[in-house]
Amino acid sequence: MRQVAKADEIIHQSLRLRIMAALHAARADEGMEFNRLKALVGATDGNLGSHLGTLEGAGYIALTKDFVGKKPRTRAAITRAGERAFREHRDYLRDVIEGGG
Amino acid sequence: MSVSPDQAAAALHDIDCTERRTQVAKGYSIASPYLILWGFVWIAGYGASAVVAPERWGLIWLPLAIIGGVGSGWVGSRAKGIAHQGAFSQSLLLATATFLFIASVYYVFRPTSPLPYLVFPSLIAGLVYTLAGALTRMTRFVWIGAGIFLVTMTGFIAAPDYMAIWVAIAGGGGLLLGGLWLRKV
Repeated sequence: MRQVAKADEIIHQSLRLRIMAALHAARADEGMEFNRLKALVGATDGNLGSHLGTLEGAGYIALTKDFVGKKPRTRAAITRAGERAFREHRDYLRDVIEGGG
Repeated sequence: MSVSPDQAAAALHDIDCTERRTQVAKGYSIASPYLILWGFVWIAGYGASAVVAPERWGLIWLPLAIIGGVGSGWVGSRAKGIAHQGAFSQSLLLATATFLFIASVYYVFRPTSPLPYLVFPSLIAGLVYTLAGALTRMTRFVWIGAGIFLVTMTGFIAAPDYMAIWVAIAGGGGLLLGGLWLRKV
């Protein structure tokens, strides 16, 4: 029997939810580049940076910064804890719709 | 924290849309190097076919098909985000199957003029991209497939005498541009 899923206030914020959904769907080992993620979730630079910081602080994503030539590059990847939290939050949302929330 | 059923439904819809966009973008970035590779193969093959007698086209296309097949296998084995195991053999199998299909159609129908040899592979490529795009709902493939089809038929109708160079520039160049377009999210 599945445990009752819990809401996650950090993930539930609209843009953070999209960020987590994109990183969960991508699940690339090397992470997703900042600009690609920005385009996929429809965010601005500042907005995305701020929410990535919040998710990183919660341990849900890991940010990697390096250089390609002289150009700085930031990549984000979902962590194990992030995957688990995202799945639990999605289960919670489904439970709410099915009347169990 | 309390979430209403409407809010939950909206959030789940948002998740579905984002996951779908992400998977499509991932598919495009995997396909991009294949199109660029085959764009170069087309430019080389059709460009050479424009200056070489039709009876020698086999000498051009056989090595190019092998290069394209092996190159596709190499691209497949380097693709990020998909299972690496078997990617080389899968890509090689697809390229070989396509080549054998086209060669078999020529063998069965035995065209009497050189023109069908130039036109048919382009039409097949246009069909394959259009079908792949329609089946996977990846609309950029549909546009690329439709573009290849239109370019090919335009050349066939308007400039059959210059078909090889037309397909080299418009078709091969189109594949290259298509491959670069797929790299953009």
